Amino acid sequence: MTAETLFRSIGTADEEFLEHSERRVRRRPPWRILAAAAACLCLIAAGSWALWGENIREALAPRRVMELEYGCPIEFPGGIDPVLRVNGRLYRWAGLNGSGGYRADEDGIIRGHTYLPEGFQEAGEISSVTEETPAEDFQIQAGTPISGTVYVDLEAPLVVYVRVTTYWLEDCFVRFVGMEYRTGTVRIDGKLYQFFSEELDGGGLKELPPEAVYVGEIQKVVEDRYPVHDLEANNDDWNIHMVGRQVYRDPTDDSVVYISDERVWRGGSETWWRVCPLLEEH
Amino acid sequence: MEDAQIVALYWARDEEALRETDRRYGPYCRTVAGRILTAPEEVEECVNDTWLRAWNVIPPQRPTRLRAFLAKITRNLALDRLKAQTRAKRGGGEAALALEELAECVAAPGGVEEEVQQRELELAVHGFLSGLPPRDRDIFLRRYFFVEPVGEIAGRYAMGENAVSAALSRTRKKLRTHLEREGWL
Repeated sequence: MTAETLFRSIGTADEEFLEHSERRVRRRPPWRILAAAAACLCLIAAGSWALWGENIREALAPRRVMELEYGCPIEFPGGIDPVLRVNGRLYRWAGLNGSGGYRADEDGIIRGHTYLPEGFQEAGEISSVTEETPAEDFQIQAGTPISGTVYVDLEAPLVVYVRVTTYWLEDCFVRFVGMEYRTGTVRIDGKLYQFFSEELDGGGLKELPPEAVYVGEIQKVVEDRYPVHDLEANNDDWNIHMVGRQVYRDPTDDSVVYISDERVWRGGSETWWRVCPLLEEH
Repeated sequence: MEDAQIVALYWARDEEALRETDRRYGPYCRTVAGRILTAPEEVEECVNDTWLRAWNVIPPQRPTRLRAFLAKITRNLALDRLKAQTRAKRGGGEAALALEELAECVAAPGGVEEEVQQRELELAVHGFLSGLPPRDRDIFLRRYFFVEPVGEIAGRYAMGENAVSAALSRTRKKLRTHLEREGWL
């Protein structure tokens, strides 16, 4: 095998994978990015760090404080986004769980301002850190040392919380979500539809199709799980209000539903309709 | 016109299929070829060859993801042209030809064993890609399928360039481990 033959083999990649890679991720507007607190971080000296060795000490050397977006670093140290394994399932870091406005203290460490939702119970401690995909429960993939306590809710297996301590966080509750968990979904007639995602943002109709019929209004938003009842939604983005939105559908085509949205500008607003596709795997 | 309609034109052997394909995917395929070939005329010829190849394989194929299907054809054709150019530039057209002649003595080109090995390597790579987290897979394919520069990948996914480079380094290590386990190294 040569580099060329390997390079050619990559050319036979699955078309579904190629299509998925075409997506673009929109950077959120600067005003939504939480500001970095200090110019650099200090090493945390503790007896347990002696176990990690000289090269880890180098990784912990003072560096600029990260920018946070929804309590999630724009770039994780070591270039690795943390992934945790619990009960055989992989969960990715989804951000600090709190009311926002995170601030680092004078030493550049963020403390507190987070909480654990009701229903989550202690399940164990992070056992080890790896740079590879975790192979054991309570193992975490990361670019720097991370320790913490893991909390689960058997009624909500798609999300776990971890009380995390790293060199820039102390005792903060971080939300981890299942790798394929989708937020911004709505249940209609027993099926799940994607209301909001980066890929869909900006799309929609000014007028409903003539064959569309009224279904109802969204009644409730749930967190950390998929909606179970019709006219329920799940949503992580507190900027997007779901309750009260009107739902329409075409009785001859259940591949999409239409959900109202509003564009607002100074001096006016207009209603438009998001075209929400069926989530095939649900 | 949607992909399914364009594919239907191919099946109907209607040459409008080629015009529609060029209209819809011409710029895209030129970008794919342009990342591998440098001369504009080479890029243009490669894209034209892509349409010809598509015409010859549809039918019997009926691609459901026409964009990705065409990207694969364009990429392979571009690599073939690049290899031919490199061979010519080595100036030793004669040396390269001589090597090819010797290679024919060792194993027939496209011989069964070589084809089987190539297919097995493709399966190994497919297995590797299937096991990657989606984001790492996306970054890997943008770099090693689409030959996109790191800066462009960073912009596409709203990441820093260091994060993209780190992700690629990590994934290459995983690929090496995977190929070692599969007995390729």
